[in-house]
Amino acid sequence: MDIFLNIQGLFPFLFILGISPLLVGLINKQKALLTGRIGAPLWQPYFDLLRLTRKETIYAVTASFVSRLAPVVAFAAVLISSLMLPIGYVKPILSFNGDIIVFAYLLGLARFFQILGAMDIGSSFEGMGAAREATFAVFAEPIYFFTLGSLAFISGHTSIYDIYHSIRLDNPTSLVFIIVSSISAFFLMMTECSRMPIDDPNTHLELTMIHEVMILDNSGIDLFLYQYSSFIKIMIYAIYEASFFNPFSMQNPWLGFSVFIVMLLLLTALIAWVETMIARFKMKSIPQYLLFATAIGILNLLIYTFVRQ
Amino acid sequence: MIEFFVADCMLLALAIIVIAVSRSQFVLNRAAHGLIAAATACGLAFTTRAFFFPTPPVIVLFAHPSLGTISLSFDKLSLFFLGLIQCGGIVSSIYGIGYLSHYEQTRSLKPTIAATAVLFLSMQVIVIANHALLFLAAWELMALAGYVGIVFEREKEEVQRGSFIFFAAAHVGTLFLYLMFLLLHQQTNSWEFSAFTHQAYLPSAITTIFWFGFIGFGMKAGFMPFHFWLPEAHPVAPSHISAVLSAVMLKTGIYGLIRVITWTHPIDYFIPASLLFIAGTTAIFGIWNALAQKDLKRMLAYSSIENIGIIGIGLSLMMFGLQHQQPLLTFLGLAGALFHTANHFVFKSLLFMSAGTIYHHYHHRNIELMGGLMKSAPLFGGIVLIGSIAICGLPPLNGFASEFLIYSGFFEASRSLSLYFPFFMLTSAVALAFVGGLAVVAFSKIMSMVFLGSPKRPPEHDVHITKYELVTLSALALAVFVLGLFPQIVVGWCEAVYRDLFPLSQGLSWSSSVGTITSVGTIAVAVIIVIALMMIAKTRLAARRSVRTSVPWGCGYTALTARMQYSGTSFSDDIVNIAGKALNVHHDIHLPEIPLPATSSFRTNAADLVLNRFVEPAGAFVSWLVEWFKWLQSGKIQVYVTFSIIALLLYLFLAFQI
Repeated sequence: MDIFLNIQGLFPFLFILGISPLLVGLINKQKALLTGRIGAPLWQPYFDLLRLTRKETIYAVTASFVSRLAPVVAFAAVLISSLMLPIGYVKPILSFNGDIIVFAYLLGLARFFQILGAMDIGSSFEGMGAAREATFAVFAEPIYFFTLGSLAFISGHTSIYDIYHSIRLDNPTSLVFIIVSSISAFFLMMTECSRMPIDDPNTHLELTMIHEVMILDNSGIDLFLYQYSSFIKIMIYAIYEASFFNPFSMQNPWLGFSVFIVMLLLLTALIAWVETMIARFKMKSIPQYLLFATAIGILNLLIYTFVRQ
Repeated sequence: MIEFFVADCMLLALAIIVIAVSRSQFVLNRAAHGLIAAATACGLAFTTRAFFFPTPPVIVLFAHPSLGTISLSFDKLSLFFLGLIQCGGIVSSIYGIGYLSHYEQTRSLKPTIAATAVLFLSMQVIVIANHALLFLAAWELMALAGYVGIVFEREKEEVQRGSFIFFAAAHVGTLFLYLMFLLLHQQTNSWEFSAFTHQAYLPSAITTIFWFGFIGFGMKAGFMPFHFWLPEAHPVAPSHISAVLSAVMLKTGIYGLIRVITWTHPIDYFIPASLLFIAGTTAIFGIWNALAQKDLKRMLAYSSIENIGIIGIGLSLMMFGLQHQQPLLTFLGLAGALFHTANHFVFKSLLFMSAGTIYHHYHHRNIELMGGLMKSAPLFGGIVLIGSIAICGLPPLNGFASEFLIYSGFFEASRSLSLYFPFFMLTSAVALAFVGGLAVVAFSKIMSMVFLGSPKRPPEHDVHITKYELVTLSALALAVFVLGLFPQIVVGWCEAVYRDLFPLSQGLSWSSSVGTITSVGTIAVAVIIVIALMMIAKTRLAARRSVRTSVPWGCGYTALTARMQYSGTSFSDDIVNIAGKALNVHHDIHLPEIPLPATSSFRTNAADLVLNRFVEPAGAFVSWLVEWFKWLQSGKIQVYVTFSIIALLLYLFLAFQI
């Protein structure tokens, strides 16, 4: 079965598209509560997206067609990679051997165009953000391969759906493996989704931003595409993380789905807590932090390899 | 059908005659390049036919009683590389017309065009030669022609230096090939390639033959630590020659390496494991060095080193497969290597040729002083953008398809081979992902500095791109799309090569891997369709609201100038610094020492680690050593004759002793 097309597969896709702004709303609400504010309503991200579609689009005078193309490519790539993620036992629309590689590289394509879109303006701010994004992405990529990749190597499956379904939590070795993998996956998520302690999405100073400074000169529909794709990206990584612990998905779909939702909620709480408690790292120390996450992955895999022998 | 091949050789000879007799530079440029293109096109017709239909017989050139039969043979592997070289001949000679037309008034084009013709003749002979002597003769001829091609702007010091390093490296490499062939001859008592296969070699001989072959061919292909000539020679050659050197000539090294592997079948663990290690290091080192450069063509040369590393990873997977008799792994490794070879040919030709057009626009190669070409030449910029996406190995274009095969090889190796393979294969996969990430930075640096932003210096004129250049570049960009959207075509060719090379392993099911590569193509098509549809929808939607332009955000500061843009060195600075001493980047900072404003300067220089730290000191040491024998060189003929007589007497004495 090369590419599996099914009606059921639409469910994860629509779930990701529909719920991802709510996930961000949940994180923001909990952050507000943790800092003693009331905060914006849960639905605020939806309103923000809607507002952006009604705004006029302004391009910098220095911008070429790359600025017009970049948001579309970034959004399309994230959208197509979201077609490969399963939720619970539901098989996604795109599922074939080796889709974990396609998934990682599609996100890479999105990043490449986001960098080009930023550099197209010719402003130092965007240049700085793009350089940081590029640097950190280089060190984030290995983490992906050490978490999901190692699961693929160990389980012998190369499709995300099959990998998640080969996870068994009854064996203590694999339980330890999964727990440690999910820690480095959490590091990856914070990096890729430009959250604290890597990037501060709410800062007011351009010099300290990464993701936000890259899209300074985007507005209207382009900004809509960038924002929405960043929401979807958070959702993708949240699913990626939450699906690690889903022992019931095969036996009991509804129980599995409930566990999955609970895991998502716990994850939002964890993100909100981390973002409230930890200050942003110095830019210089971020590669060290990412290498640390990679080292956890290597260590984990070594333990697994030797225990299995 | 063989007539086409004969026509190929005849037309190349005719091209040389035209070069010799032509008086007008204008006619010479078009006629000679046209003939080379026609010759290689004829050859390509032959190759295509021969590849898909029963292979043509061996052409015997010359039979010698003691040396054996000097002949040309056409198996599928040879034909694959022959086709690649012929495609290279067509594109580079058509582009060459446009590139050299800038020099028609100022310098003689004869040596360069003649070198192109000889280069293509010799490269074609290399991949079909069936005799060690013919192979070595063509190999030497290729080095010589390459040298003549590189020294086009011969008055420049960097050209003299780069071409010399190329020539020296080529000859050191050839020396190891002589040793390899001598060993093969000693083992098989034959000089013919067909006799080298299916031989029972001694295990110790296999190791020596392989490593001699690896040094000889690896020197040409550019594996670490023999890569040092690429970043010196490729930037200084005229761009169509750089494209040939990088996209085609390096592949003769890969061809040779595949031949050595199929002859000797190295069976111990050490060889494939160390090849995997060397190839991985080559890839990481190559692309990391590319990041540190400012010279556009030097960056591209380092990126070639990276791609050779990726091809080498495929070859080492093939060797693991051969060792463990895992046909699928062998196939994935070979197909990954061959497909990446073809892909690298397409996008590296595109990028090197574009670099030539950029060089003619700016008259220098420093990317820090470029910028903003995307607005003045959107079509050209779009073509280079396509090449950049492809070379980063990003979907939906062709670079991704071949890297995907190599990743599949990693998975297959860890699935089918036990022991610690999962761990090592995963580490290799992570290394490949890391290389991909670095490539994204390198090529976003090139795109940003050359095409995006605003011009760092006011442009003197618009980008002038001749129709020859435009045709070639568009054809290559189209090829990038075709190979990316229909990767199963090339994988089918690789399968034919595989079945021809390893006829014993019939009856295998590829369906899973070929099916998977088809889905990669389908995804690529889907990505392009989705992007196109969304682009249309977005433009419509934005037009319904209002669209306008304004100055970029400068934090309230409104007097932004082009010099305030982020420079390429700053863009890659973080990553380059992490590498530390391994990149051999020198910062030369002069700060003012007094409080009042004074002149200050900042320079960075990224010289090659191996060349700068090892090869050049070694060369200096040899020169120093040779100084000691300088007294022998008196310049007096009588003394030299005396030396000869002494030597002769010594020989005679030794002969009688024995």
